[in-house]
Amino acid sequence: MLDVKGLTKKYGGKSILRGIDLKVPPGQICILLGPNGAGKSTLIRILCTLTRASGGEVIIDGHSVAEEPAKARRMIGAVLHETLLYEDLTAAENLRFYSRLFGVSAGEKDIDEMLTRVNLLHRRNDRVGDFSRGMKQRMAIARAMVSGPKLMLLDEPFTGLDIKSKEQVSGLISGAATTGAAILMTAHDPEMAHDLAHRLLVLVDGKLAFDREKTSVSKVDFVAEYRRLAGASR
Amino acid sequence: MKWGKRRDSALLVTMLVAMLLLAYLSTFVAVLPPLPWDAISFHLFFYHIPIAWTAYLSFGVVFAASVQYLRTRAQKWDMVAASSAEVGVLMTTLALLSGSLWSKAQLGYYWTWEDAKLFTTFILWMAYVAYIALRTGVRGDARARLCAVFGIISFVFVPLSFFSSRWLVSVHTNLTSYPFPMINGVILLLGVVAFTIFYVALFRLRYDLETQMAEIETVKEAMEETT
Amino acid sequence: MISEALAVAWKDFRLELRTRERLSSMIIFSIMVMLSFRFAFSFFGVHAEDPVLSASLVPPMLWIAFFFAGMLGLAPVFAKETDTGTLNGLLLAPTDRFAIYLGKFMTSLFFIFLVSLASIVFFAIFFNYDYAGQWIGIAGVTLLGTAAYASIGVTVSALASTAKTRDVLLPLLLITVTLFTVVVPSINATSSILMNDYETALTNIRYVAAFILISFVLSYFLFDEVLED
Repeated sequence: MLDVKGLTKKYGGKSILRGIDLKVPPGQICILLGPNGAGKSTLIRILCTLTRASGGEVIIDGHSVAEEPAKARRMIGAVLHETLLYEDLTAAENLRFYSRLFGVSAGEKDIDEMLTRVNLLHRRNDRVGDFSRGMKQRMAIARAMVSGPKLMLLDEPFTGLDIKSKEQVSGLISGAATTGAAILMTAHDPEMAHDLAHRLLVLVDGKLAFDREKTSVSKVDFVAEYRRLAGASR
Repeated sequence: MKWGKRRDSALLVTMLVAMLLLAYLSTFVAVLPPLPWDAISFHLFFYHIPIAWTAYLSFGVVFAASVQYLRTRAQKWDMVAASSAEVGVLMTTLALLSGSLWSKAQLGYYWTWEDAKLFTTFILWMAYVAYIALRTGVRGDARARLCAVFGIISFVFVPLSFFSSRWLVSVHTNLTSYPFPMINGVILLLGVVAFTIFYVALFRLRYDLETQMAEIETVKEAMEETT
Repeated sequence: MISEALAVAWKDFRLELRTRERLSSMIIFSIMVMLSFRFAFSFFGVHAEDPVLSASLVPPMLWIAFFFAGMLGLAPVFAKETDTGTLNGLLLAPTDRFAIYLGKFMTSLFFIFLVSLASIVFFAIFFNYDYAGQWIGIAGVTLLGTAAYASIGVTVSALASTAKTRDVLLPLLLITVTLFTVVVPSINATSSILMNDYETALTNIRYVAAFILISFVLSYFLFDEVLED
């Protein structure tokens, strides 16, 4: 589903990503960890087609991002640092807009269904600006899933959430994976990552220092290894 | 395009010599056409035309470089555009000034808004200023790209401004309506060549400055990485 | 592409209806300008019947108001999206970026034209002036002129939106690109219509129409570059 080969990114003279290779098949949850400034957000932005890579290839469902960006975007559902929601519009209006923007014809029933999935149907006609942080995040996920994406990219979706919201979001992510979406997300917390992921990756100094199936490493070991890798970076 | 100091000096000297020659020739050799032009405005003529030419030339360079930048994303094209834009502001200012001095001597006033060429050149001046303002206002990677876009847009609309005023009476002196001796044409050509060289020399200086600034940026970033 | 453009237009329209920020500032500005004109050009109120005088004075006054009120309408087109981060939402859409341009153009044109019409009415009220009965002609030229203004204005607004100095930059860029290409011909066309000189008016109108076409073509090729990161 997602195939990254030799991805590099430079800002001015500075190398942020120094050759990333990774594959995410459908239905797999890959969680990428790394210290601040390691380049996780940059990587997500490049995969979303929001930023151009300096070198390498990104192929989504057979479509090269460099050559067919529009086709690639059709497959992607992204949850970023910004919620991408219009605060002055209602939940339903936001979803209606994004459906149309993604070329998905969604009737009122479809919108209700999307809202039910993220447990926000009762706030359907309320301004998104009035939502709590957890609700906005669930709304952002609903927005990302509007087009039934085959690849979901999430950039630290648990930031600022309380435990209950984190659980709800985890549930949504797992749910998306069981319906066949490939999922790549970045995170900060190695313990929670180990719980949720099928595969774990660690990005340090622009390279992947760790890439293994969850089942091949215990949680304790992984946490220790992550601390070691993150601590060793500049 | 690494020209040594010697070659730059040679360029400047050539330009100076050409300009002096121009001044000398226009004083003695040029045949005064049977016009009510007095001596001052007549000499200004030989400077104003070449200057205006280089003003338009540098704008063309900005446009071409902008297109090339968007096609290749090579930073050097952005530097070419920026350098040409700055030289262009200078040349356009000089063109406007020399033109207004000439019109004062010949027609009795410094400026009029009714003439097509005049305000198109003024718009050209504004386009340059706007380009530089945009360049100063935007930081980072986006700068080259946005400036290139504006370089292209303004290049299309500046001549368009000219056409919009076709119906207005042009007070801009029309050369073809007066008999123009061959020798004057030669001098004019010499002037064009001289000022083109002048433009190239200034452009080179500015471009070198741009290259140095880019190098400083690279060193700064490398230093940040090691701390 | 069209349905995505319509989606963007509808979204902006909905947002504007809900917050009314843009519209109210534009209308208030236009009233203030007309009032200022009323006092500055108070002599005109007495001579409004003079056809030559009104044909010379009225179009420039109107278009000054349209230009600056229009600028108020163009400034937030991308500034707001950039500030709130929703611009990325638009960029993620699997459509040609030109669709975003079209959508923004539609809403901008709608609001700028609406405010311009309102300005025309305010002017008529303040000066007790009836445009020599040429309401339709004036409205038509205004529509065309504001369309031309918006057609390049959206692209220029996108250019300026990322700059820190965007408040100063936008007017500068807009004037450079539209003053003699849109504003002057529109003024001339309006003036000609008030004098019943339809031939000159038509020449100017054709020119403005050509401008719209050129703007669209330019934006089609360049808009991608303006928005991408």
